[in-house]
Amino acid sequence: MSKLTPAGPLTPAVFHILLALYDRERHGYDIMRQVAMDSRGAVKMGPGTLYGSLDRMIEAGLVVQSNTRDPRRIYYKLTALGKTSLRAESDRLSAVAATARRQLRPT
Amino acid sequence: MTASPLSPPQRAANCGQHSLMAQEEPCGPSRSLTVYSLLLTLYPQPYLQQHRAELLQNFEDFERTLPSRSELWLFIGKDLLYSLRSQFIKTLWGQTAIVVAVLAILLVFTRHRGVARVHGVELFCLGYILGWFAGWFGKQWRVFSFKGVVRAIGFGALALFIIGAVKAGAQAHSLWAFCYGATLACIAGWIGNRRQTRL
Repeated sequence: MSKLTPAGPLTPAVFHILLALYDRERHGYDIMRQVAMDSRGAVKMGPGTLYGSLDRMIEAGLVVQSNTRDPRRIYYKLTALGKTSLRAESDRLSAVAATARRQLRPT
Repeated sequence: MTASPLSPPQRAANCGQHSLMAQEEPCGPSRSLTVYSLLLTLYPQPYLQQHRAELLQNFEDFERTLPSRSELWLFIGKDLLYSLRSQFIKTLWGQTAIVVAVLAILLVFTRHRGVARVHGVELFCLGYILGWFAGWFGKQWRVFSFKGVVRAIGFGALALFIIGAVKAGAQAHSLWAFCYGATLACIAGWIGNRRQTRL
């Protein structure tokens, strides 16, 4: 069984990595670029931080390495658990955002 | 898949070539890349073995795409500081350094303030260190199926140590200080482990 569990809210870094990998497999630089684009520049992830997060995600079973022939360009892709976790986190964030919008509505 | 930037062999092949469409490619690794590869040696060995090639490739990519060298180093410097801290804390050396630093401060503080029962403080530190190392080895070995046996051996050794100390005529407050240190180390280890395993 995996040491890490995706139960509970995910960190923004992990959520954005899952989102970047949802539609296709990517290598490290491509993931960082996609995360910056998806977050509109709010989340800027460097290589050291990215690979630390990816290691934890691999350990948790959210992500796997897919093409390891070139050690400089290893590709990563989501597992079924990764997709489920991304959907669950998206639902959670949507619910939180809906609550916030309701409370912030001008009376 | 996205088109990947040129790999180093490709860059080397283009080195010094002129064409109507492209500018001359720079020869060999840049000075920034050399400095970065030296800085990478600060990372723990397992992390470096796994990701060194990828980190260097990413640095080359950023070097090519970021507009200025100062922006590149600001970005990479922040990333290095943050990731080195989180990687270093995971290692035995990192954790030992933190424990020793905290306990050294405690010892200096108690001596400086003239706290009574200095031996109690020292035994507390000993208990803390032993508890911390027991936690570390327990964590390393928990992947094996005999983790229960490892834990039993750890507690057995601790119990034997306490029984031996009682037989040797150790004072009660010294034993309590030792046990208090070991218990605190277990709690700190548990909290640290929870933090590390959070995604």
